[in-house]
Amino acid sequence: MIQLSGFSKCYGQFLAVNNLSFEVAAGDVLGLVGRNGAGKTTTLRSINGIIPPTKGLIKVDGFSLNDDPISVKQRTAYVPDDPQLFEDLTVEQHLRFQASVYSISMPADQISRLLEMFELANKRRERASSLSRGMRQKLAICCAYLQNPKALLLDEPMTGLDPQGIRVLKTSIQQQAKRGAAIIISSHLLAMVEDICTHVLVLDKGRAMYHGTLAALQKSFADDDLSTSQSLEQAFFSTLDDAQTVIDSELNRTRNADISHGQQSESETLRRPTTNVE
Amino acid sequence: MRCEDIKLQKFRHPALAQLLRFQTAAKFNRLASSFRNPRKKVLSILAVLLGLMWLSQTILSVLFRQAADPATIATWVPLGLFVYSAWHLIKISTRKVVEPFEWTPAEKEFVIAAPVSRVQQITYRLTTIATAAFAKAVCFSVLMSPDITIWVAGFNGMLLGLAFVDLIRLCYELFFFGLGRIGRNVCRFVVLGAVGGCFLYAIFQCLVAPTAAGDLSSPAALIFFKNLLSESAGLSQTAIGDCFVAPFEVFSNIALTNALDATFCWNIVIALVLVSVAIVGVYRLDYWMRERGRVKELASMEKSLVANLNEDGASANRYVHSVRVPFRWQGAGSLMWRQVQTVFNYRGTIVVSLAIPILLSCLPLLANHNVGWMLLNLVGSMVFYSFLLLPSALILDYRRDINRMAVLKSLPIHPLAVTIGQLATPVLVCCLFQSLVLGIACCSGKVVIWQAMLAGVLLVPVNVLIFAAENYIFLLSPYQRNKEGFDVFLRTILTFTGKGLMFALGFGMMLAWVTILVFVTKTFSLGPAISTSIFTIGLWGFTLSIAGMFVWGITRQFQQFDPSQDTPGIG
Repeated sequence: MIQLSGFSKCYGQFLAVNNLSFEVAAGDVLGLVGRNGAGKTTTLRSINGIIPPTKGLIKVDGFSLNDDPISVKQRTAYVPDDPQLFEDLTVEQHLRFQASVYSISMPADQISRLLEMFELANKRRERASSLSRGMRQKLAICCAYLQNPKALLLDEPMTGLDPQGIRVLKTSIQQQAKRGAAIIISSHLLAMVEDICTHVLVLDKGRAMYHGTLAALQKSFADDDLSTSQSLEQAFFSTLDDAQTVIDSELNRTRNADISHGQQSESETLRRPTTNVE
Repeated sequence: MRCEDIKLQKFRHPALAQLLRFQTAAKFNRLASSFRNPRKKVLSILAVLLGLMWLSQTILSVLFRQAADPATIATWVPLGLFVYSAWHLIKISTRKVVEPFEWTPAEKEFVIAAPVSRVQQITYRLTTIATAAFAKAVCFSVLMSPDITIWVAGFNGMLLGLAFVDLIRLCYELFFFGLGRIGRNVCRFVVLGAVGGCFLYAIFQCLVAPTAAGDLSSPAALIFFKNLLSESAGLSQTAIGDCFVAPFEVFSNIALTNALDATFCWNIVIALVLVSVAIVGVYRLDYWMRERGRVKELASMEKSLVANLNEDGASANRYVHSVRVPFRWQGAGSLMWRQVQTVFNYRGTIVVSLAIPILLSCLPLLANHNVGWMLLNLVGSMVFYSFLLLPSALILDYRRDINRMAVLKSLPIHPLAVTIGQLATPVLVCCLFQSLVLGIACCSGKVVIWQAMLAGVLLVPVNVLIFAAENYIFLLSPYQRNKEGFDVFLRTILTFTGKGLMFALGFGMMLAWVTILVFVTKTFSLGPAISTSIFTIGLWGFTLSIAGMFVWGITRQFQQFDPSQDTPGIG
């Protein structure tokens, strides 16, 4: 459903994401984990077409972002980590605008259902500026769910939510996956990733360090003395440590090599041994 | 339920039109809600009353004004539109490069991410720009109604003209953003060189024929100013000048037409063609800019990859140097230092913003006064322009930090120190501006150095007062920068009236102080040196006290500011 191939994004001289390739099938939930500045938000925003990719191919449901961005956006919903709302518009106006922009016919029932689900029904006439951080997050999630997207991108979706909200969100994510949506969740909460995700992608300095199923990851780092969440955490840090070692040794090797005569292709020179358990 | 087969219109998306309607209605709702808010009720009512007074006064002055000379106005309207366009070009060329269209954060999340085409997104932005042009055209056509024969024609001429200016601005902004570093520098050189060349030429002409315009009974500065305007207008009559001003003459001809005849229709057609070409230019240049952006990003990526190969991770530390605030002063120094960094980052914009006040303040130097009168004129003009123009050019205080008030309140710094830290940088820049003008005056030999230095010191509390008053009024009724709308208009009136009252009050107090001093001087037979000293020290002390009161008032307002309730909407 979601397909990235050789995706790179550069901000000036800063390479935020470098040659990233992965796929998310319908019904899969991919956990995007990595340190701050690893390129998680850039990846999500690029998939949704908010920022144009520098290089590479992004496809959603078979539509290429380069060739047909509108079809990609029509099938994609994105919940940012810090929802930016129209401060003067009410909760209901946000949802009505969203229904209109995604051409959703008869949205009233769906709006009511979502507002009930996320406990915003009594806030529907309130302006966004008067909402708390958690409520803003809930409104952004409602806007994303309203269109029943085929690709759902969630950037730190638990931020600001109360325990009840977190439970509702987790359940709803699983329902969306059952419905057939491909979901990517960026999060630092490894326990949550373990609860919901079927696959994990570990990013570091814009590169994929690990990509595979959660079960395979847990299996490869399994330890009789460790619980599963501990094993995910261990896997995460081990992957980053291994990656740093590989990068250091590769940089040393590259510096020693005679680049001017080596004529190595970019892909050969920069290839990182991405662990893929699948 | 999604309607898969709904055809999206090519230019206008119904959802974006709906968004515009929602936002317009929401603005009025917000305005209405400010009357319901007990914290703002009195100020809102006051702002509306002042607004009504201001409007009625304007309407009356327009109604009783005599019509200007048709030939003069026919020269100045197109020239005004051209100068407005040139001003935009200068601003874009000198300010920090920003992405065109200036999408708000909410628009980035909702409009850019929405399944609407780029053409529809641009149409949405052009509609918001057209709305602003509509409001400006209404104001202009009302103000010019004594000079306009057919009001509808006048309004349409101004609307098309102002829309054309905005479209030119957008086109240049897109073009400038799409260029590389060298291209941008070339553009800067061309624009600033052309404008500077014209200005220097006009000054040269004025100096060659200093009394070509105006009568000799007028002050020399006024004669020079009239000459300068006359020479600038004369430039538009030259072959090159005509090429630049001619497109704007079409809009002027529409606005000032005497009859709805064939010429008028022809002008309307040409104007529509010009606006349409500019609109097409915006769409095309946007596409070009995005493509150029991709190419530039690819080139940067390749450079970055090579850099990654040649440098190890430790090299990143090369750029990490210790950042030490030179002085803390109970935290005030740290806040001041932060604003100084902002000045450094936006130095180009600030220098351009200060250029006009510097030129205007220097005009008294052209008069043939004695040294005493010259200094008085110079200081007077500096204070006036500092009061009028500098607060909007130096937004480096609470006005810049309205969305960071919660952070400022959470700092372990005394509120008074926060206020001092926030005000210090604009006051410092204002002092530098005045020092520059006084320096020019000293270099011209029209002012004695020690007098200039004394004047510079005496003006410090005046500068504190100017920015303290601005911030006090702002904190009473805060608003978001770079926003347009009726409520911002009312708040501007509130600020302007408050400052005007303060200026009048200050002037009255100064006159009272002079009267008292004259009486004291006569009673005690004081010499001129002593009485002048008493007057100066008294005035200085009085200004300082008032400035101190305003600083105290700001500190109280800052303490009472509730970020959750008082921060105005952004979206």
